[in-house]
Amino acid sequence: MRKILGIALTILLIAGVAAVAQQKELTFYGSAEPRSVEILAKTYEKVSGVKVNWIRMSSGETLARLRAEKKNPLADVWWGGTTDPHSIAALEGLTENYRPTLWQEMDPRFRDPIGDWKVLGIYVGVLGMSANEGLLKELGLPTPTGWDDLTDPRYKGLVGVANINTSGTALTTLATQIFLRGEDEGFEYMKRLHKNIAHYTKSGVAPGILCGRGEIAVAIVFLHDVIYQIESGYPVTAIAPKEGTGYEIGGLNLVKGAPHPELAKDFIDWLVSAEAQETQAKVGGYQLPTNTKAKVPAVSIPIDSVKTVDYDFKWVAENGVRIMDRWTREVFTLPR
Amino acid sequence: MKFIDLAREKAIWVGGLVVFLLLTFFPFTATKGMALVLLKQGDFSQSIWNQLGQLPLLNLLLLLLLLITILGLLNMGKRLRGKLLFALSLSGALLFTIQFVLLTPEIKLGMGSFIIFFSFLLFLARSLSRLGLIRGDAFVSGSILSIAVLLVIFIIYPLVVILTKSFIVERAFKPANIFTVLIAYPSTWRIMKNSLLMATTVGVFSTAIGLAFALVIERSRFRFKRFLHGFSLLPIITPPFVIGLAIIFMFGRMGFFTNKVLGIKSSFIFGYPGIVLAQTLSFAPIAFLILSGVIHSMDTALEEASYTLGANRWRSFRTIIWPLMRPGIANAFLLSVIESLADFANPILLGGDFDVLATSIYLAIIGRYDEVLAASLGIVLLSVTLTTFVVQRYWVGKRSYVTITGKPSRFAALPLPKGLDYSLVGFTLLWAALTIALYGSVFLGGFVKLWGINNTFTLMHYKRFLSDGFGSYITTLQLAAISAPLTAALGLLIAYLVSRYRFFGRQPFEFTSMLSFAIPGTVIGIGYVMAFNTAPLVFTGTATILVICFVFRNMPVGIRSGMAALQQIDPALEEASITLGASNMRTFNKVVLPLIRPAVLSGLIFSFVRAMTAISAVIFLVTPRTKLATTVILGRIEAGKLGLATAYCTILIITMATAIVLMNIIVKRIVKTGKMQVASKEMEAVNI
Repeated sequence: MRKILGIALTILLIAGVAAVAQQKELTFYGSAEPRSVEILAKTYEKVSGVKVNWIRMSSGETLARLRAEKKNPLADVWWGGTTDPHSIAALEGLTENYRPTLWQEMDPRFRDPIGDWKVLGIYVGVLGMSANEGLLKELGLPTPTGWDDLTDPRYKGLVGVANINTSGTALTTLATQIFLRGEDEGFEYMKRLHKNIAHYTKSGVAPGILCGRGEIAVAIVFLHDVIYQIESGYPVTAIAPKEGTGYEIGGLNLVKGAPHPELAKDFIDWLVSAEAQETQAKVGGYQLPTNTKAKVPAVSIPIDSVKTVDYDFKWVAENGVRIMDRWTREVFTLPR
Repeated sequence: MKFIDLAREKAIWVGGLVVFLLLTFFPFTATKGMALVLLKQGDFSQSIWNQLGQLPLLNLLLLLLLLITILGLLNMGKRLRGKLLFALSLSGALLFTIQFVLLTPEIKLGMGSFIIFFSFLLFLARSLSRLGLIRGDAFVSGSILSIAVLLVIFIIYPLVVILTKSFIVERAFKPANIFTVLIAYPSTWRIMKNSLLMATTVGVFSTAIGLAFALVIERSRFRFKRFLHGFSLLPIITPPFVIGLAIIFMFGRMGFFTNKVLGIKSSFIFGYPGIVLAQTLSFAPIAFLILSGVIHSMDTALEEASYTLGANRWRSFRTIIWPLMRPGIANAFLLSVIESLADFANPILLGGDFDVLATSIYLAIIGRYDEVLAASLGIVLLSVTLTTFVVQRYWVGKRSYVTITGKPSRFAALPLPKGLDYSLVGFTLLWAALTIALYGSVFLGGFVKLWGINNTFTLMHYKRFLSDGFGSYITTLQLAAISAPLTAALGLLIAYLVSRYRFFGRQPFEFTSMLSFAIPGTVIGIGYVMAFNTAPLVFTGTATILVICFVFRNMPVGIRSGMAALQQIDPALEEASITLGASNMRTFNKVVLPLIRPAVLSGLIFSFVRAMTAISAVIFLVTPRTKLATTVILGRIEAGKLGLATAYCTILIITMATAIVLMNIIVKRIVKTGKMQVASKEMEAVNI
């Protein structure tokens, strides 16, 4: 008798652990900085009264998660992170195209990176360099102004960038060189740059932090991250390369088979609004908004003041793995 | 005699009625939530009674359950009832499997279906013990059957799913595909070489350091050696990333030691040297635990004999102590190798260009979005760790004298030869100083604005923790607190069954239950996501899957310490209890459990600590509602918030230390009280 009661109690205990469904709530995967994701969730909860469950995962993790959850989607909306994983998700049918009501307010250059509203562009981040001028001065080296300066042998062991196999930032770097110089010349550049690299990090923002800590002198990172690091107290400077540079467009997608499609659409409509995009600057998200009515943060470097390359997101989506493997074979394995 | 045999059987009919009652309150299928939907929302649409007409076999299942209940109410012979119960419950379990695995695998099973399946299983177990097919009563047979099913579901099934990912291409079975994938990936050979190089170096270093500490603590004349004991164990209650962060703080280009003390500016620490240092710090304690057990339980009589026969200290050390320790050393080496191969946090933080298998699996998903590659690399890593595990278990393990919770030897241990003693003490003190410096830097790192750049005192990281980390901290505590007792209980139960009962399939049963120790966390995590996100078993997105993951991943520690403890208890005590009329369950509760209290405690502590510090397995399992401390810390480190990360880590270390002290007190109170204490003391007397 006690045995049976014990078993029944155990089952009740396990049941107590299991999740319980509630009403009027959404689940939201974010792939930018946690603080960026959090402020969106909290603000929307206040504005709409809908409870927003959020989690921050890197874009690769989120894509893997969406694939695994394909038959049983748990999330409604995926916000942030570079375009590529969003494009892959869209092309694999993991997401649904949805045209938000504020479409006209969005900058036509960035709102639709791969066409047919498959992926919505919600912010723009410009690729550039972060330089630790104190350290450079100490070493008697000039501050680099463009890509070609970085291959100067005097910077040997002082330049940092992420590994192209593991980071969207690094893939953007390689693609930028290819769009700037053509594919073979781009790879030649990466080989010259390779000689100066201290080491390749896993995550895209890590070189910026190493640079701020003085482990390296120059890092190839997104400029909005550099501005945030300056505000956190790291002694670095943001530099837009003079030859022209690439950029990322932060993606936004509606998950196919989302548990709460109607709430999700309302949320997406809000996410592209000026109000939502302006929340980012408050928490140090200095990417450039794609809603033309949203204020550009005062500390940000506006994209029109930077020379940009003609960045073809479709080409990168189609050739990503091929250039990653080519880079690993031809560049990464070279001696330094 | 016959008259007595004809009786009702209460356990069966009451059990049957309870199952019917539970089925009413839990959803049979899970379209909305796993468990409490019915009660909370008053929505009974998923109850089994509303689905009667839909699946023909389901009606049959309920009919079988009804027949079993009636069987308990009828007056009949035990033998006949056993046979009938066997037939009914076996067909019930089989019909369930046919219906939900083969016929309708698209239906998501809810709590109700687990209740009905396990009730058939328990009735089956009862009939098996009645018919004498399993030695022991329904408790033993029920435990064996249920645990076997759980092991298949939560250890074997996810591994099979991973295998199929890389072996099956477009629905055709092609085992060669794994080689195609691995050859096409340009980094395969490099990361394999790196992993093996890293693991063997770390194995050698951790074993050497563990041995030095074990010798000093067990055999040195050094007066303050207890103090060293604490330092050798500190890394066990350390969250991942702490040692890595501390190494950057101390030995990085701007690190305190390299830069301020030595005046070097170099990033040499990123890559192979950094990983080896960090992992040696992390895994030397494991080697220490094994080796101190070996040295502790070594019979000093042999040494004394050697001295009596005229050998000097050094010669006795070389010819007696060393050969006795050799299996223990091999054991420590192989276990450190497994830990090193499976380690995720240190390589991801300090790796630089030095990629290893454990991180490459994760990065194949993160950077290349390639699950087939991840699964293939996972299989490579799994085969290396499994080979090491099998070698450790069946080749070295059998010859070793390991008992982690060894009883104190009654002879005074003889000190080491002087020269060896002094050099070992010197070395361990240096190592302890290094540990203090590293942990000190993490502790201080939480109180300064930016370590090494702006060293002004601040509490902002702790303030930030309250808003940014507190939620995940509470979740982690809750889940670790739920999973620790479950893990310890399951581990001890398995240890008890395996070491006290002989049953069909005992060897694979034991091997599978220990297997998860050799499965790297990244592989488990991916396996769980792939296996438990689609019908019939859907757990992803819930806290349940995290608890399950903790339980099955950390169980081997409980099993290990349980078996070690049980080996030291004479089975005659249990036989006496059973002869005096106690059931097996009562014997386990009242006789075995109090005697293996240290094993209960170490099982609890290890599973709690490991659940608090798990990273690689849970990284793919955390959800918006269940963020865990370690994944939050990883995110903050990636964003450069090192101050917040170190503050969070400090809080975790303090929490774990407090929890260990509390558990010590609670387990003492619960397991050994009042008359039980007297009884167990008497038994100890009997034992001696």
